[in-house]
Amino acid sequence: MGSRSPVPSGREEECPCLVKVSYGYDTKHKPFDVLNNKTPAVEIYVWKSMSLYDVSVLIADQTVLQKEDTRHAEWKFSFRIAYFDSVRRKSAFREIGSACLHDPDLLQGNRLLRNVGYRYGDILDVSIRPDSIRLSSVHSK
Amino acid sequence: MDTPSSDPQKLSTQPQTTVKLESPEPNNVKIESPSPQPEQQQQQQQEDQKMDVDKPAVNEEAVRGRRMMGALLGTLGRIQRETQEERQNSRMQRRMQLEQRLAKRLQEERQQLEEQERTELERKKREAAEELELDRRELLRLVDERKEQFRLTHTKPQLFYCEYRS
Repeated sequence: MGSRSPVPSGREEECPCLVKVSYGYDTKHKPFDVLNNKTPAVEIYVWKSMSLYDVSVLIADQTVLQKEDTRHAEWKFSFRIAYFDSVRRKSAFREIGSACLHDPDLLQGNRLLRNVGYRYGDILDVSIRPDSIRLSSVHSK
Repeated sequence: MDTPSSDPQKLSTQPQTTVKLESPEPNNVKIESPSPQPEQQQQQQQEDQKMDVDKPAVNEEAVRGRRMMGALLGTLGRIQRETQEERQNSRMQRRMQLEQRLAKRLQEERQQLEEQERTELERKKREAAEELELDRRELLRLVDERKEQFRLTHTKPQLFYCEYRS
């Protein structure tokens, strides 16, 4: 059985790249700290045809799914790309979307990395927040 | 001495004197009926005396009758009030019982609904956790497949690279 993402995540001709992901539980880092390796981070292999939900699963594999009390699907991952703004001469963030682990169709879980403007070498910043499952989903896309 | 003569010629020449006659006032005129005969007078007197004796008896009866009527009406009204209160009490009791039954039924239904929602939510959480586990294994398998298709550097961290193919 394959992944629940509507678009296949793997392509034979696409070479995976190593990306550094800075993560925090319900916190917001400063872009300067992210770019200067002052925040906790994990390294994962991604490719541009991967969706935000797939990236969230790979990040969760090394973070929330490691401990017994946090091993469940009720998490929300909010992604940002940290970069240096050469015009304003300061580091900045750019929001690219959010994804829920319990449902790949919620929020921006179906967006591909290539469509959100990700380039190889960009550093991702992820904010992990609890997101309880509801009987009727009312999340806005 | 000259006396008023009967001579008409003389009468006319003599000064005339006016005599004011006082007419009797109508209010002061008393017309008395013809007085009855003595026997009839006695009878009338006797009748008058009789009426004077019966008047207190008639008043007492009327007063007693009114008193009895009042007591009767009072009793009737009290009985009516008591029956109305009884009816209201029984009605209120029935209403309270009905409301209690309804409230109990509502509470039971609410509990059942909450129980159903809880079981449904737990089922969804369990299914989400299982599917997440499947997706995680699938993605890790894909990453491992790439290790066979592409080359890995010996550096740390290891990087994939693809040789140029013309």
